[in-house]
Amino acid sequence: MFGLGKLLYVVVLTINGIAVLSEERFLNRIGWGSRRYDQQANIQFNQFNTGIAVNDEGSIKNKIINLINATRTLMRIPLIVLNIFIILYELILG
Amino acid sequence: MYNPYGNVAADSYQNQYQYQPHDQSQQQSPQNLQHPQPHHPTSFGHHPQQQMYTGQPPVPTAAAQQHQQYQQHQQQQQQQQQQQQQQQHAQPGFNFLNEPAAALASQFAMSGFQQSNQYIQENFGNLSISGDINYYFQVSNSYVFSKIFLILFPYRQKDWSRISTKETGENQFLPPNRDINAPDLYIPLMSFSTYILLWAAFQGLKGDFHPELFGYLSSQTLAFSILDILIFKTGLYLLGCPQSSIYDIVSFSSYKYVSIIVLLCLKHSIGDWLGLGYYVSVLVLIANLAIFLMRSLRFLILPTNNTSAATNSITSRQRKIRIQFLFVYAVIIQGLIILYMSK
Repeated sequence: MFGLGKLLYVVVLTINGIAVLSEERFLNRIGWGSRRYDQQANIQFNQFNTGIAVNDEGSIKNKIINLINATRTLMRIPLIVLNIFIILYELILG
Repeated sequence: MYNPYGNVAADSYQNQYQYQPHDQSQQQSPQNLQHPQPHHPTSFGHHPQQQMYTGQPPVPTAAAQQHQQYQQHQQQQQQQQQQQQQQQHAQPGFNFLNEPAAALASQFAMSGFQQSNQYIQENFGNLSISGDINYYFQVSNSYVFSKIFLILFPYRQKDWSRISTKETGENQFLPPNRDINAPDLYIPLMSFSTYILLWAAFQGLKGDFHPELFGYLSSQTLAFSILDILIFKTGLYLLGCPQSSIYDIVSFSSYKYVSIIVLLCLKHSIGDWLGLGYYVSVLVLIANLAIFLMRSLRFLILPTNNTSAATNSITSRQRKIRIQFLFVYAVIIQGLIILYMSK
């Protein structure tokens, strides 16, 4: 039955999934890396597309990139503590 | 609180505000944060205790008096004028705050602090618990009946915009008992608890009631509500919408319990007799709730044309994406939750 405990697991596993994404191996290859690498690609991209629509699409994508980066930097240490607690709980009581 | 000029500057501010009641509402918040400037007034009350702290008795000069009268005539207070005034009366070596460089630095720091404060207010102030929750419980009988009717049958309503008031600062809209379109928290709270009790009652009629059912049900319902709110909040962030109050989102996302309660009653009373008609009624109720939500949530997602067109004008493509998100949220997500919770 889906309850608050399951919701906690869903949230923790989702944040784990975001935090485990590797910058060099995965995010830069699909162009979702942090701002440094992204600007070079954007300049080249804007040379071909000179439209208003490019900015709109970029804003949602930039927000997702920002969210991923913020999650990866901010949640790293809390996630370690939280994961250790959940693993201990599952080992003892689960 | 250390104030190098005593209470004098604050008193002069207050005395000036007595003459300009109209400008007060607009100018009060930025000016109170600014650095208090020396005025050296003569007629206002001096507090001897604070002069002890400052070590600088106010110097009555003719120029300062003239300047004050001039300001009271003008009823305008410019920061630049004060800067010049301060520089004219600066006594070098007497107090380091009188030096223009220090004043400039402190003003720079103040403006930076003000900006960061405003940023925090805009982005994190909505998440605080200390919001005005009283507003959401100002309901009346007629409001509750008409709102429930509106959720179940939203086709008669013509005007969906909330009525705004100019006088109050915190809440820009009228409370729910005077505006049918305002969100409240009374109906969500009541329908939430009614849903749990009703589900347990129907389980009892079937004969398999046990007290733990209350815990399971409330946990499940709360988890679905939190998931719902998280999805909507993330969508608002990704689309760059202006962040609205968390209570509005809680309120609108919890109106679906009214539909669920009606569905539960239908199912357990005449559900067997209706047969296939029950599923038609499920679809009709979901569609009605979706129309209600889409019309009501428009003002959260799409900025209205007349008020905030200058601040955040959106392009047509952005508008299209927002309308698609609104449709997906109001129809698909709410519909799936209703289907699951009324099964």
